[in-house]
Amino acid sequence: MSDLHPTPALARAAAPAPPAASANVLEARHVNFFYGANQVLFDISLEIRHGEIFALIGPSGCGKSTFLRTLNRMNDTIPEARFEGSVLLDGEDIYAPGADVISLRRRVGMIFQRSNPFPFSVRDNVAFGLRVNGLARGHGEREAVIERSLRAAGLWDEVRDRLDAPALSLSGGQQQRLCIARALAIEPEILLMDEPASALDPIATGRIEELALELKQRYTIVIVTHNLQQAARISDRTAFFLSGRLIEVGRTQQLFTTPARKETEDYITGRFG
Amino acid sequence: MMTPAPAADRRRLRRRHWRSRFMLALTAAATALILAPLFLILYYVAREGAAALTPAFFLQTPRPVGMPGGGMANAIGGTLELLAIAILAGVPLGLIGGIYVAEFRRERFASGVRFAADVLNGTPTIVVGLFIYAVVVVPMRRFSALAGGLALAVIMIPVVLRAAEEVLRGVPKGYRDAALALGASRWRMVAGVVLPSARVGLVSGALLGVARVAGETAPLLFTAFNNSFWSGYIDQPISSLTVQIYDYAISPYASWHAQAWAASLTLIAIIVGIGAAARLTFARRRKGMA
Repeated sequence: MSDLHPTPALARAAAPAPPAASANVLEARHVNFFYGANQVLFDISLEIRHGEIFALIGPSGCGKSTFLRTLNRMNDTIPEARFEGSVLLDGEDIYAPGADVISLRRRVGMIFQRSNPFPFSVRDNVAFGLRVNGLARGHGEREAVIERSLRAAGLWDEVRDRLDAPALSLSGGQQQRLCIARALAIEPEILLMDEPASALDPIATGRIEELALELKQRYTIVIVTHNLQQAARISDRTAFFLSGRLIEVGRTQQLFTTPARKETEDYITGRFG
Repeated sequence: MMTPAPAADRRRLRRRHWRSRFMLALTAAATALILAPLFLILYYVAREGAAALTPAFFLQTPRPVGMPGGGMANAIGGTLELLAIAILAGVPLGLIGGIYVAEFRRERFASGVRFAADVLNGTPTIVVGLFIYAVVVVPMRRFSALAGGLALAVIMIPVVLRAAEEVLRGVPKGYRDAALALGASRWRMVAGVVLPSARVGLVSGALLGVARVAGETAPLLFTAFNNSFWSGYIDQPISSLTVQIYDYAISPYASWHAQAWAASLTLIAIIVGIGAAARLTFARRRKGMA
């Protein structure tokens, strides 16, 4: 569908090295968000830069997940929800009238808090995004993309002999990596990760973190986490949210060692949250 | 808890054991009470019906009054044909309606449809028969298998719709989110993820509808009417096991009574058979993929 009616706003940049002006791939400007009469995000403005891992931290209910979901318009599915402001992807507003949400989501993939593979085979899970987007139509081509995606998600060696096995027979950590492979198959530019390791044991969590660092070579990653050590370990820059407001954003090391704001310091030293 | 008084403690413990045993017995008794009529009916129908279950019963059509023998081959075929028409007309409509309500409309619309479906479900089936008589039989100027099948379909639709809606609402939100986040349109999400995940439940819902109508008599009385002969034509009156049971049961002839019992047994076997077949197919397929 998007192939027939390309939205100029979201046409993929052909040049591999964009000019300096678009070092910010994503830019939120004065984002307000409401559930009915209840405002949950207040005037959030921040930029996410090309090729970085950007962490969103803050106590439960601070709006970090809601903010993440404004970046690929997943909040659109919630009735009674209202968005104000703008989010620029390579300079084009994804909330502009006429912006195509389907091609947006193709460029901005998402990994959810609870791994949610479809109740299909491993292969069909990875192939789903290809199918709905009309990519890799040939059998050989599709198999190649499936293998490449599973390799990129560090899952290939574990599932290569059981691509037809039900995805739900995999372990929790494998299921989450399968979800990552599924998201990678359509080659997004940005990956949004919503507490991707919160339901996993420490070993599986470690693998997801390693994976995020590897994927950084090719993708820009925005990760929501309630695990401060995780944010410190893997992210380049961190934003701290509190009660729907952006309190502080900066280089991760700086934010964790010399926070500028009192609230940030209280949070990272464990005084609340 | 320092040093518990052993005697009082033991007494309380014994009382709790007794209460537990009593409640367990109560639930077991309730279950037996519910299952008893079912098995009594099955037993009684089997006992009364077995005698008349001869090869002729399955192979011959009814004989005129006074002539011995004859069977219900045409009624068995007729029931299957009526069910086939009802399934073809009712299941797609019920499923599509359920999908629309569950996936594409907001809650207020859905509760309106639910209410309408419940009203239709509560409508006496003979009224449905009258309705079909008015809109199908009268214009066609004849009773027909088509009219009978459509009457059954109308009864089936609310059952299938409600079941489908419920099953679809039970599909985890995570599946929907994942599909949308991969760039699926709403329709691709429903067709590619929600429906396949809900398939087993949707078939159960359809079967629920089939089971609901397979034993209906009233809506067939003045739609499909009855027929003493073989008829495969959908624009002709057709025999059915239920109407045949009704006719034979109120007749004064002992041999017809016996055949009515045999027909009852056959009808139960058909309904159980449909359910079992679908269950088996889906158990196998589920093992294969989900």
